[in-house]
Amino acid sequence: MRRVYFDNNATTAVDPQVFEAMKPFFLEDFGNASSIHAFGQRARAVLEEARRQVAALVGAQPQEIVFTSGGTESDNTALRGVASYLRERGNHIITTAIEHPAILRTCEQLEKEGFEITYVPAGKDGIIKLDVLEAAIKDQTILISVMYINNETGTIQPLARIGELAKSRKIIFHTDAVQAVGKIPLDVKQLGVDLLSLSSHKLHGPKGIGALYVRRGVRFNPLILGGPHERSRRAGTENVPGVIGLGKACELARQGLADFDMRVRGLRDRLENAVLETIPDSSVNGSRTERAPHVTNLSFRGTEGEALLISLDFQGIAVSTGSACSSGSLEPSHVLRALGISSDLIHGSIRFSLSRMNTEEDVDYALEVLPKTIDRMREMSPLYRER
Amino acid sequence: MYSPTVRRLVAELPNSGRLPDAVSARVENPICGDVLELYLCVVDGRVSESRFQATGCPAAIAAGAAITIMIERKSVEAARQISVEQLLEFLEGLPPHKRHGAEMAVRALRQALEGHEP
Repeated sequence: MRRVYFDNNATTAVDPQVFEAMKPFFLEDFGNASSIHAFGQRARAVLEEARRQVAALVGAQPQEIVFTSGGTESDNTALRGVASYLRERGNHIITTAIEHPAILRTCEQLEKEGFEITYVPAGKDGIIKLDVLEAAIKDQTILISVMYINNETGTIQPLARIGELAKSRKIIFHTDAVQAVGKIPLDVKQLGVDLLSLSSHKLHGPKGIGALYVRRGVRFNPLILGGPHERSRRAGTENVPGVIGLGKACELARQGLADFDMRVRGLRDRLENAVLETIPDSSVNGSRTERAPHVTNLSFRGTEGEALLISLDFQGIAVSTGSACSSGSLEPSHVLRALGISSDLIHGSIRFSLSRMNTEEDVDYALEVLPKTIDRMREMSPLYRER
Repeated sequence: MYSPTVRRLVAELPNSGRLPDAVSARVENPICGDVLELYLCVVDGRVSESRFQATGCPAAIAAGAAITIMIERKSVEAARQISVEQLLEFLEGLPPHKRHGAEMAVRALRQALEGHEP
């Protein structure tokens, strides 16, 4: 049976070149990058080279990159670090209703600590309402945090416009770019962001490592305290193999951006168009234009996403779903709900997220399997029968 | 999260369908929108044939399929005795927040058997 991985927004396979780059730093070059001896200095040198690689992918200076344990830590650091640092200036933060839980749960905690949070809604196309964001700004606003590419729908937010607005009002601007880095060309100066979160395992690097871009001059209270690592911005002995992996993954992503846009977009479009043409009562969730090249979030009326997921998995295809049944709390996808999508369509939603490792044959196989699977589910569905 | 038995039942959908001239029952879970229908034929006091239809999560689908397997050729009285715990055992367990799938299936079974003398 063919195995097809279409869940790259959850995680990606480590690129073999990344794995090779990391290997020496477990058994041979294992030094602590803070040690003065040769073992340490070797680690330090490669770590700084990796920092340059990460910086190059996002258009930053190396000293503006802080290594973290991943996107979640970067998001927590940005929000909590800035909020606490600027507490005396104000206590209002603006974010969106469609952020990743790493942002939303952190904001909820900040609310308990006395901060006021505004959650800007998104339209049916998944784009946040800029007029609402602008109207929400007040004297006490100290931080705006808007994700760049939504993890469920792939929708791209107009960050450059928000950046201009934030700059004009002298408000710190953070973006969770975990799903964007390595997928679309990205320049922090052009976007006007002050802080940016990224995660290695979303771009064929290892899990457990990420980075936070911090524009020169931006201050925050570190989340992780201890030694003076990362210029006293994030304590803890550096995960050198992880950093090497992240650096190499960034280098490969930067080299492959044009191909990603052309080839992976082509695969996604072929998959999506064929589904819409051949499977009745199917629809796309979110914008089909302002969207990352590799994601399609589809709803199939009269089905349930988690059951579809298991059925597809049995046939070798890995996807994800926004169905309520797939969350531990029986709550449907907050993103799809925020887009105003009806409960039954959220129930029957499947996210396909491709990568540069997917092929035409993968799409061929999916198009062979998916229609039959949907048909079987619908044949035994009372709600589809009664629609 | 789901046992191999649940996953196999969802993938293979044994006994899915409807039966003409069968007794049927329909239960719904308003919280998550699951709907389960059970169809069964009783001949000489025994379940001779059964089918299920479901819109919903793997728990509801697997429980519906499992119930039709568990009641095969059972007497009405024996079928009526099937408990949620027995169904959960057959399924090798369900996550706690998915237990409603098994409860729905047992409820549907008891509704379908109402009026049948043991």
